[in-house]
Amino acid sequence: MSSLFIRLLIASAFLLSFGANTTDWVDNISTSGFIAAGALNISSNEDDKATKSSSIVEGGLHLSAILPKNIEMNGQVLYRDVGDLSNYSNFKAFSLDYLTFDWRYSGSENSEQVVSIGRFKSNGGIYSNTRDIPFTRPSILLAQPIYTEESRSINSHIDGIRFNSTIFTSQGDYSVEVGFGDNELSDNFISSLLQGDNSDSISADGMYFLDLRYRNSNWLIVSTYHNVEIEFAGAIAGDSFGVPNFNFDINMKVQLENLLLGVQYLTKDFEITAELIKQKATTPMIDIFSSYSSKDLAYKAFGYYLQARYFITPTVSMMARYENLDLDLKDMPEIVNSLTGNALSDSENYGLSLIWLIDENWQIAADYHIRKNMHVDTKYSLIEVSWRF
Amino acid sequence: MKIISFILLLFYSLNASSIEIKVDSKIAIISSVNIVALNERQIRNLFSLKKKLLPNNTRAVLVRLPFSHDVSKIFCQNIYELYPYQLQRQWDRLVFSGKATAPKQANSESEVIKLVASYPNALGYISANSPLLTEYKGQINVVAVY
Repeated sequence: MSSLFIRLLIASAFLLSFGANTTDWVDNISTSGFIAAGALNISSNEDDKATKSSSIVEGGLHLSAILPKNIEMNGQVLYRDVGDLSNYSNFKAFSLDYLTFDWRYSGSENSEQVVSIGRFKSNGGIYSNTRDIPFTRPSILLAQPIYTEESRSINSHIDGIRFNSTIFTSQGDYSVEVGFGDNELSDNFISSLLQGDNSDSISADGMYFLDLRYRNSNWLIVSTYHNVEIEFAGAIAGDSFGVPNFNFDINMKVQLENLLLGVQYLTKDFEITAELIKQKATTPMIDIFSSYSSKDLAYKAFGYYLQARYFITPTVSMMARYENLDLDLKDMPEIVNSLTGNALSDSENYGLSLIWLIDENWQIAADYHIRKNMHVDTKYSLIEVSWRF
Repeated sequence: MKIISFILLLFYSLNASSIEIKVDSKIAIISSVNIVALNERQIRNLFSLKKKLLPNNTRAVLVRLPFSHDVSKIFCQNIYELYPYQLQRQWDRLVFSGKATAPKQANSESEVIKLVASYPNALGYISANSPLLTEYKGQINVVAVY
């Protein structure tokens, strides 16, 4: 359903481009993009004292076109190879980040409304819409309790329709945005959700979000609610739930709800940001665990971070961040808790980052993060050079 | 305790020093001839890419100078009290999330004027002291000076 929708949209874009006056069309197109390359080192104090090193490559190409009648087209293709950054995101792939047709209307000089169709970003918190763009991040690695690698694909985009209304006042801007649609889930998300390798069918339908924002010259306050129902039918196979050669036919639905609140205070010299997330995933009891518990499976999480960024010079900034994630697994059957081990545990992270914007188009960033959970301390060192065009 | 120490360290570093850009110049916001008046809030919202439509409900075309250009530094300071790269990051967040189109870049003030004059709904900025304002009088409007 999703991919068909996107194909139709791309076909419409081509038809429109051929239908428009060539000179006007070219004149109203703008492109931009970036390429980033870096290195990652991960070490931990687990029994085997494992140390892993890998490269990171990120790239993006953005295209926008202003069409007649206040219609715009915006699209972006991304490439990501994040090495060993996460067990679940170790992939090398191009993806269509978004492709929308927007119709814009201003009912008064102090307001503006936009209706968008296509694939659009799903607005989770302050950074999620541009989490893959090096020039918009305060550090290479964003706060993991909120911008977790494991849930990247569920939080990244929706194929459907979006409405935004913004009111501009002398005190600041108030905006409300709602989006509905489906989400084409990546294999990495399926792996992270089910801790298995194979699936016959998985879909995320009926996804919606509500996003409220206030912004003035110093403050940004964000509140986002997401709801999605993921339906899985197929088999879990492989080394799943800590059991070698685990094989089980399974049919289930998971309802995932996220509530995010974020505040950012920005001045010329510094930026302070705090965000929190309340997450709940529930699914009706499935046969596999019925002999251990009669309760529905429920996973709840509460995470937050505090982040300060100081501009040492206009082009050099230093960021320090504290992150915390608390999991509530009391509604999970004991068997799940014991099988998942380290994968589901509270964690506390500390992060430092230094970014030097060499000029308008070049940037160097270096990160150091320590993640502590109940069993393991893991240290992440990252460096990345980015170029934009 | 660890959290408190961490936060105290952050605030110490934040108060350690502040950075000032010396700005004693002004910039002129210029527009196509058919844009007659814009107030300060409209100009701020348009150049921050939050608002895209002009009061006549047509799409604004924005023209900018490179962020390393002195006039861009004055523009960012006088209008937003930010460094150019902070404004660039705000633009990037909107452009790369598909919610705005990046302003057109001109490499000189004369190029800004020529581009603004060539579109029916364009806005740009140049130094308020620039002799180009007199030279191109009639082809562009000055809608504000900051």
